[in-house]
Amino acid sequence: VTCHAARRLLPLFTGGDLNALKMSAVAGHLAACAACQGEAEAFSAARCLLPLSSLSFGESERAQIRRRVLDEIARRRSDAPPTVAFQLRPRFALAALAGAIVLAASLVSPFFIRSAVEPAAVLPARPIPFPTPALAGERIAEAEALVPDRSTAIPRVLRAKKVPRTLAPASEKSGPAMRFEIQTGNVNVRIIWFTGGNSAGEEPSDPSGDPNDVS
Amino acid sequence: MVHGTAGGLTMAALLYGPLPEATDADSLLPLIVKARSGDAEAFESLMVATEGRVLRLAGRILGDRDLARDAAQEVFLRVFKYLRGFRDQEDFRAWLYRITVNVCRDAGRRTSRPGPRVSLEGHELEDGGTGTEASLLSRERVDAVRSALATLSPRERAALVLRDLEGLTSEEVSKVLGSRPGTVRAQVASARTKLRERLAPFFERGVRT
Repeated sequence: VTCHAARRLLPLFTGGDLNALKMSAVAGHLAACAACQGEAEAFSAARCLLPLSSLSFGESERAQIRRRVLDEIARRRSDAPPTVAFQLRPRFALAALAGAIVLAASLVSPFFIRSAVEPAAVLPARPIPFPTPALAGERIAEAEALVPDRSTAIPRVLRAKKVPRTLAPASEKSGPAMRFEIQTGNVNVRIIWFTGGNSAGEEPSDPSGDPNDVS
Repeated sequence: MVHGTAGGLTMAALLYGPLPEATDADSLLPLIVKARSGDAEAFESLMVATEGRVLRLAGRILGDRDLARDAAQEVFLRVFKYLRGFRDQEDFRAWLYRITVNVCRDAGRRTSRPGPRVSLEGHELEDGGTGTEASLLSRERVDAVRSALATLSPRERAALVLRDLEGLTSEEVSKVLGSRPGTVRAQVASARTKLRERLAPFFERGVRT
């Protein structure tokens, strides 16, 4: 180890911060070099002076610091809200308000949407009288059974049924064996369509059959 | 010739012996657990056990009594605030040192001074301050040491204080300062060289006498 290398390592050597190999190498050089030995002693002496920089604090100062710290902690505790939920109270209130608005909107909106899309679905309060001018006699009750639930919905069905000749209009005595009824959205308007045709005077193929059969 | 460290003991430890408040981390653990749950008495006991270290370190880094007191107060407030985040397997002393160094760094920034103040009120003279030649020499020496420390950069000063005065190893200092051990060794070497140059008149006179 040269003097230059040894002096470069002296600051760490005096603190024991070198590895064992370098420590022994520098120590060997110092044993043989008086100048570097003096330099190493200078570093050690400077380190010995370091503790003089310390400040001393009396017990009264320490107690004062403790009291200040504890007072500050107590003050912060008293100032702080008791719980996290309380701390977040404004946010909880806003969240609850938003939730209530969403809930109310979800409950009310179906009525608005339904009325906007299907204005005809708003039913009158009283039961809908089944229009029966096309039928006669005891068939009315049977025809009424075609409407599944008159109180809740207007039937929009296409019904085709065989009609006895006696029920056919007088203008088509030779006439139609099939009759189609189309109920429109308006309960007072029904489209009745007679079609097809048997020969005149021909009886229906099944006069005792169910007049409500849909074919 | 005075050698630096031997077997992990530093010069300060050899000269002054173990510090009175140097409580082992294991003995502090019950206090830490209680204080973490909000026990004010346990936290006060924890302060009593560690305030000496905190005050001394803050005083050495800041070089001013008032600043060191304020820093110690802030350190314990931060300890109370962040104690819940302290893990039991951690080294409480290193954790405390880290907080203290950070508080001192903040205090140094606030005071906008590059180095510590050199306070004349904290002199402890061996002869009780009777004004003899020896006491004047001692006072002069203390001033010189504090002035020399004040000329170091904050990182060099913190590394030197932790390594040579608090007795931490380079690895422990690196953990406290958040840097690598090689960096700490370089900072310590630079600081020792500067101190040796600035204190040369005093220890040469002391060697002669």
